[in-house]
Amino acid sequence: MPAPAPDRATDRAADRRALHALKAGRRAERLRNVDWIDALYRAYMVGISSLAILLGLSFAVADAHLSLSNVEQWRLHGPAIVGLVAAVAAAMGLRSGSHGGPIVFESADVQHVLLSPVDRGVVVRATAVRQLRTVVALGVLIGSLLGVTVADRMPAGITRSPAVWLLSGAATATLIALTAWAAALTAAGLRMTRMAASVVGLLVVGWSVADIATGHATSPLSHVGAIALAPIVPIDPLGIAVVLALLAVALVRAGNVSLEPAMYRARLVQSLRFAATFQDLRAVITLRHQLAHEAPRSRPWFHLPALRGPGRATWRRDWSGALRWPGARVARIVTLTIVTGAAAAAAWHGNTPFVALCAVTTCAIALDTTEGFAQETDHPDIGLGLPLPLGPFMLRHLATPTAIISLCAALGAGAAAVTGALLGGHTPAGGAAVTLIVVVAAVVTMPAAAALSMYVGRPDRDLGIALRYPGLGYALQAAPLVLTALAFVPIAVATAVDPPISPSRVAFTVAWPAIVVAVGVLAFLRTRVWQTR
Amino acid sequence: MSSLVAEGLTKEYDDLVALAPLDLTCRSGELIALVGHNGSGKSTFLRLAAGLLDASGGEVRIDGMPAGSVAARAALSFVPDEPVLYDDLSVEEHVEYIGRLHGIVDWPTRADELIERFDLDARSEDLPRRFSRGLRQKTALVLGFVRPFSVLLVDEPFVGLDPAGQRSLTELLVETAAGGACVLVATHQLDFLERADRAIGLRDGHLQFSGPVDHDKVRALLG
Repeated sequence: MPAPAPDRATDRAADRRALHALKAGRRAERLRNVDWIDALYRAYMVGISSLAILLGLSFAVADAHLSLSNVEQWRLHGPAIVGLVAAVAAAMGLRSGSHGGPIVFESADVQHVLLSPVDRGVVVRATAVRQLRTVVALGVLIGSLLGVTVADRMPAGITRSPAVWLLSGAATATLIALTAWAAALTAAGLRMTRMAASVVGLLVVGWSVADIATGHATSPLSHVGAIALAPIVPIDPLGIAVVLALLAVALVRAGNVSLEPAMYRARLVQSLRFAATFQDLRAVITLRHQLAHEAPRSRPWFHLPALRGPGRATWRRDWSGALRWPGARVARIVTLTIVTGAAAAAAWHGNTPFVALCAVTTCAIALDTTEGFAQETDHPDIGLGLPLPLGPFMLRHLATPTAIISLCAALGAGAAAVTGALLGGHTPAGGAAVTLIVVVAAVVTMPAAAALSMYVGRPDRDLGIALRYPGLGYALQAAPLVLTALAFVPIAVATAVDPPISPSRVAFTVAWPAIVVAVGVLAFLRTRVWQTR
Repeated sequence: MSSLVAEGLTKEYDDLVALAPLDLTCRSGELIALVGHNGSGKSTFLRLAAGLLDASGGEVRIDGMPAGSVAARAALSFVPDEPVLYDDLSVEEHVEYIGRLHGIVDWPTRADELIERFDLDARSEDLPRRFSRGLRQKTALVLGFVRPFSVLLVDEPFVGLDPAGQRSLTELLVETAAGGACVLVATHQLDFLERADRAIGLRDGHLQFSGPVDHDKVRALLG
């Protein structure tokens, strides 16, 4: 039996040496097992894809210059507006911290290192600093891109130096990222409750909103926002000082984080990384929801009316599940629907790139609304044990999502109408007909996209082999998004035609193949994948 | 009548033989204890019979139909060792779903009886995802019993159950077999052997014995 540990005063230097040795050993082991060819290839693919996306975005964004009056408005309200972005980021960080974020430990580190007699502050700060590097790098990258984009839009008479705007953008985005991250770590270190974090977050956001309304930059985050506009507004170090102070508090209190949420997050993030490795989008989304403590309601919004006798099993099952969606999910679906409608209206007004946004938001809505179908996929043993052919059974699980998506489509059409009225200006004729065509196409393609996404995420043997070929793998991963995009392509095409060609006729010509493809996908899944047994 | 017949049933994973060629017949009305140490092949055999695994060789038939076929699935109820439950349905909703899927007309009555029997009355509107291991096990057992079957396969059902739950389950299994079903229970619970009609012993995927319960043989097998 081992001898009991002697009383030991905390020796931070010894703890750091022990941790350093552990990390060095693990790093050496990881490097020994790295497939360098594979790693280089993946880096190459990520680099090429990122470059393509950036170039595409830069071409897509309208090239109009701001007017001098626009610049004057940004001088007046810009710092507070950017400060509001920082405030929202801080509020989200506080919420994340109340759930145990932002630090993610490995389960083994929680069990063996954090429960050992080492100074937890040493352990947590070491992990925090590693994460901080990524936060800063992301902030610099995103801010630099935004800064360069802004520089290009400046009118004559206003400095257009890319270097100056790049520095401003990089500095601001880094400070905003640090604000969010430090707020999260501070909330975790102070063991703030969710309610407290929400209240503080609301106050911070409210302060920035007040600054926008009054036109006076009183919030420290408005001073951070001023840095983004440094070439055209005066700046002072108050914002930077506050962010750095928050960072210091976060790092000092880091050792006080609670282990309970840390264990929970460790398990989820481990599963999330595994799912991301296998590009299982459904699992990634589910685990993200769990990380945000988004769980089904213990009591449904309301109970389904009792129905005697058999039949309508999957319809009632899926509605029972939908009636347990947490408020956050319902709010997300409604928000995404409104955004989709607004984006579609913007595309109808000539901003074609918004079609891509519609594709992304509708794909997200589709995945969120197909919960019963997804549950059946997550628990295949149940379905496989039923005396029913699997194909039609799985297909029936798409009935409820289709009904819900139809409701969303009606809301989205309404949002599109309102946005169109607000935007004003000239639009092609036949808007109502094109709306109807797009709605029908979306209602058909969205469930199909969700089903396809779940199949690609849980491939059978043949698809698993196909996914090993990176080019084909990425194409298959993108297929659900392409499917939802097809429903909105009619908007882009209809806006490009001139009279006497009818926009609605052209839209229909483009839409019905999308519907055929979606039906084909479902038929493929029903007969090939969910084989009739 | 033979409810479950295995002929030359084999399961291999690369060079690991999980189940050697197995010949076995189980009849209606029999209560059978399937015993063996960890890794002996009990769960593998049950999952093959349920149609969840594909046999490497041989076959197993349920009421004369190939395991995994629609008819076999209609006749067989399988309760796995790890409860498999939906995240977004309450106990009642689970039972309603399974009852409707199996076309049971009086599923509410049957559901009430089973929920009461497994002492889940107070939790019937709760989500099993929040339950302890034992409560999840009870929920899974309710789902296994609520639907019609002529063959019942249960894998380690006593794990996690409190003594009252174990007694209740044992009585239910005895009643079910007496009612004409073929009941096969994989278990380490020696108390259950007292009530079983027959014991089948496995070691490292090989059949060691199959016949009336012999406690000495079982103890020798389990060590």
